Amino acid sequence: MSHLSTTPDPGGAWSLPRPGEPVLSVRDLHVEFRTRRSVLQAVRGVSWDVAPGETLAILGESGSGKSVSAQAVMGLIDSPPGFISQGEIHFRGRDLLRSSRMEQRRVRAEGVSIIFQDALTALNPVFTVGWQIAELFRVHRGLSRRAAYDRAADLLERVGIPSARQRLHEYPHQFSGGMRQRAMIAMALALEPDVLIADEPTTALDVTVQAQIMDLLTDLQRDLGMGMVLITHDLAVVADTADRVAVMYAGRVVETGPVREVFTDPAHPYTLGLMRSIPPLERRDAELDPIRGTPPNPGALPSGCAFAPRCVFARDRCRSDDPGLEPVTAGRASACHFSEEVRRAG
Amino acid sequence: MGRYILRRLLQMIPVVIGATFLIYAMNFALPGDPVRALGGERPLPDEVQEQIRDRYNLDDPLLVQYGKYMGNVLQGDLGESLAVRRGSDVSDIIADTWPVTARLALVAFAFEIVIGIGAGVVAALRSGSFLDNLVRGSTILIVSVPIFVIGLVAQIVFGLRLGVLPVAGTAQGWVSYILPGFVLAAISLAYLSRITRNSLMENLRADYVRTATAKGLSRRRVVGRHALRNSMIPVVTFLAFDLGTLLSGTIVTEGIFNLNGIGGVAFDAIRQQDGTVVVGIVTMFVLIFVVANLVVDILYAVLDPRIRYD
Amino acid sequence: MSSLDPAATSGQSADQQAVTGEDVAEGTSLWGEAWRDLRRNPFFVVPVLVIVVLTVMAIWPQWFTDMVPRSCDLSRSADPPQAGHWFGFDRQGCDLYTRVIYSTRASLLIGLSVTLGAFAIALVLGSLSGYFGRWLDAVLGRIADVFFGIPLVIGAIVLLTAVADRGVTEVSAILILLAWPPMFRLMRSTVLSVRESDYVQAARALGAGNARVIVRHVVPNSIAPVIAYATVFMGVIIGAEATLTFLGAGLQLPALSWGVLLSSPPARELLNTPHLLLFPSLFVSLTVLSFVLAGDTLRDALDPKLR
Ligand SMILES: Nc1ncnc2c1ncn2[C@@H]1O[C@H](COP(=O)(O)OP(=O)(O)OP(=O)(O)O)[C@@H](O)[C@H]1O
Ligand code: SF4
Ligand SMILES: [Mg+2]
Repeated sequence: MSHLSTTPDPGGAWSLPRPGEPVLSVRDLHVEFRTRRSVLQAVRGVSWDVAPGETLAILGESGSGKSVSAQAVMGLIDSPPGFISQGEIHFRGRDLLRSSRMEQRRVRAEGVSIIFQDALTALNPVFTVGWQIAELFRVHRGLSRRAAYDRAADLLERVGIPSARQRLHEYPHQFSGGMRQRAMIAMALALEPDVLIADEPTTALDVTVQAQIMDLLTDLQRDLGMGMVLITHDLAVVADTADRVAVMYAGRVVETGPVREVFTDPAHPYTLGLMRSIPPLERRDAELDPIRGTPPNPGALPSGCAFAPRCVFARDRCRSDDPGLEPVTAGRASACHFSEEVRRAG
Repeated sequence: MGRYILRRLLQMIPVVIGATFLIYAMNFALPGDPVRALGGERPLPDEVQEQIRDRYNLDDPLLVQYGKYMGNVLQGDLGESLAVRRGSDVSDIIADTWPVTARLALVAFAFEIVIGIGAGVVAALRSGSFLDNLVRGSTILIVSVPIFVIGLVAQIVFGLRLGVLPVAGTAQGWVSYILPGFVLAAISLAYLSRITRNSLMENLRADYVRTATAKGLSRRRVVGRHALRNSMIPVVTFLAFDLGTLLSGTIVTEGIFNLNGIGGVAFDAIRQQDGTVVVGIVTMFVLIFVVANLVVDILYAVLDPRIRYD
Repeated sequence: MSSLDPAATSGQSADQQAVTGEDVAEGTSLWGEAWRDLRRNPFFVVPVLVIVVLTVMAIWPQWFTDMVPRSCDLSRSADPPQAGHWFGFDRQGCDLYTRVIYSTRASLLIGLSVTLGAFAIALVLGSLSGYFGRWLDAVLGRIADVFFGIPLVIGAIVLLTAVADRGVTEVSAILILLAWPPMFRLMRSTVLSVRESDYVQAARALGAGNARVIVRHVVPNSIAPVIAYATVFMGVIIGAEATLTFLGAGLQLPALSWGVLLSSPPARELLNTPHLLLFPSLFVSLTVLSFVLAGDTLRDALDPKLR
């Protein structure tokens, strides 16, 4: 994780990132939910970044903090009970957590967009799809009603919605699941953001539609040259579309690096377990090797390494020392005391 | 949309018939002599009793009586007062007095919307705060005190002790409506603020509100345009239901504040046991209530497109 | 004269209040957990204590006063509070404190019988309607709509003015007749969601008869929100009785209820003798408040969504 562009921005305009330099980077992010009885640490020091044109995949079990970290970037943590207790979120060199509300809103409008798993609940049921897309142009670009609707129709067409001009005036519940997600994508890309965060964009869809939506996303990403953060459970999708991957466990990134390297040569026992859970083609009917045990309760994490209770490599040291994310090879890192041993085993 | 309205209209018909029949039957067909009951404690002269029997077709079978009565009601004939304004047509009395009631209801409605929804929104946006608890506490307190007690206390405190607001009659124009309007609105206002609060809080947590925030919209627009519109759906449903409370409330409020509206007449009619006036006014209230519920159903469809396209 | 819409007190649709946890017939965890919460909640404990005291007062009024409610002295009519007569005298010159104490019975009795009556109707018709659905549901639903179309107090005024002698029985009967639909609707909607739950489906798949499924599985699992609502309802009915009686359409002297005490003097005269207004209305309001608060906290404690 070498690129850390914290150069202040004297002109007030966003500095253009140099090629290969991250446009969005998250540094040591901590998010906790405080209830009357306890504090739940959902995200405990997560760092990642994404460069223009690059796709970063975030993998991890349910509850590992993937969505919460994405929501923190977008300023969507409900507070209370949620608080960003520590960390920095840099967009084009500027720390969002320390900039004004106006500035944050501007970044959200034009810099970073997000699409959610369930487009039915993510779209407002009482406004037409066209209205919701046009709203962006009217509020942020000051376009007239008519011009905004024109742009919305173009967008719907671009994301592959047939007879877009008529469907502009329909409500979300009149769209099919796939169409709704397309409309959601159109809305997210309306102002041509630099980064798109897609939080399980295809989970709620039929298998056939899933592939179409992924194709559409990678297509658009290439055209617009934007960075993409793809949160998913689907290892095959990660292998197909992502450049780099960050594997999360219990609120931390436990392994990160280029997809091909991480997948073929895991350096963390959790990643290794994930890889072993994919049945190889030649033994599809053979027994799966899932990771035994259940994820820890984020309200009561074990001391030492959070993965220790489920880890086949665990020793005494693991139960007392919490491993940090350490470089493995150039561009790769793993949070395990015994990553070399894990790599040899894999 | 057209089909939806038509369906609601058709559903409304049996409710109107059922409700008015129930009221009619209970009043004119109870065991004992209904005409005597109409006159209350004062026995009516024989010839008046005869007239009433004739006028209300009391010698016909019940269903026929009811049919003829409703026929008359639809032509604007609600019968004749026996006590409150002996000899006047009930419909004339209503025609005389409705402007007062309409003004009162308007003032009450304004209080209800502004304070009720306002307090609910504030409580939702600052949920868990002192303000939120204050709203919750005072609403429970208000709904626990019967409306006539609120009315009498308001009269004593504001009118007689402080002397800041008129407490009786309508001599001072709109100012005269402030106190009774507030009293009439009080209970509904409390419920409304709670419904608004809970509904808005639920919607503020909804995914589409996150989307709106993620679109970089101002908090004001996210709440005012996106969340509030959805939150109004249960609120509007409540307002229709609540009209029943408001209508019964006018009887108490106008009675206490000595306003010469429909409710005030009903208040006197109940105490003087003027049956035709009571039944006439109540039948009209029921009709208003049912029609208002229909209007709200339509409004509901305007607010929520998912219903419109069923 | 309060709203009787169950959704109104919660702001949620009734369907959402349905108990969706596991079968209570298998264990009383829902009530057990609710009790553990409520025991420590002053907003539940205090109103319940008030209700207990009021109940004792209704059954044994003589424990609370040495005087009898009907020994009056017209020369002391409407005299203000004084030593030995904390609440003063009413218009007939009776000790107001004694009258208020002796009025508790009728007010509570009407509240209780109307609540039980409406509860019984809601329980039976609501279960049948929600469980069997189809034409039965349609018919019962339309009937409920008809009664729902008549605002409670307004309807009661009409029906009661037609009744010559209005005692506790008459007033209660007419209030039951008019007030059952909201509770019925609540019961129906919770039954509807419980019916679809896994354990009911399982019981049916195992061949349990309809009657058994309803009595053993459906009713125990749908009743919690209805009980909470019935508690609030009882407060609302007590308030409605007072209002009706105040208007002159409820109980009549010589019956005694808080409403009767408030209705005997003309409204305008109450203004000059505030104690005649203050004490009876304080009792009404405190009673209604206790039921509303207890029901409200009970509902929250029984709502699995809020856990
Ligand atoms: N609003 C909230 N209040 C309390 N806890 C929350 C809230 N949102 C998330 N959490 C907790 O934060 C933790 C991380 O949740 P998160 O949604 O990020 O998981 P995830 O990795 O996205 O899982 P999934 O794959 O199921 O989407 C979970 O334990 C969750 O219970
Ligand atoms: S640090 Fe120890 S317990 Fe944690 S993953 Fe590595 S080997 Fe397993
Ligand atoms: Mg998630």
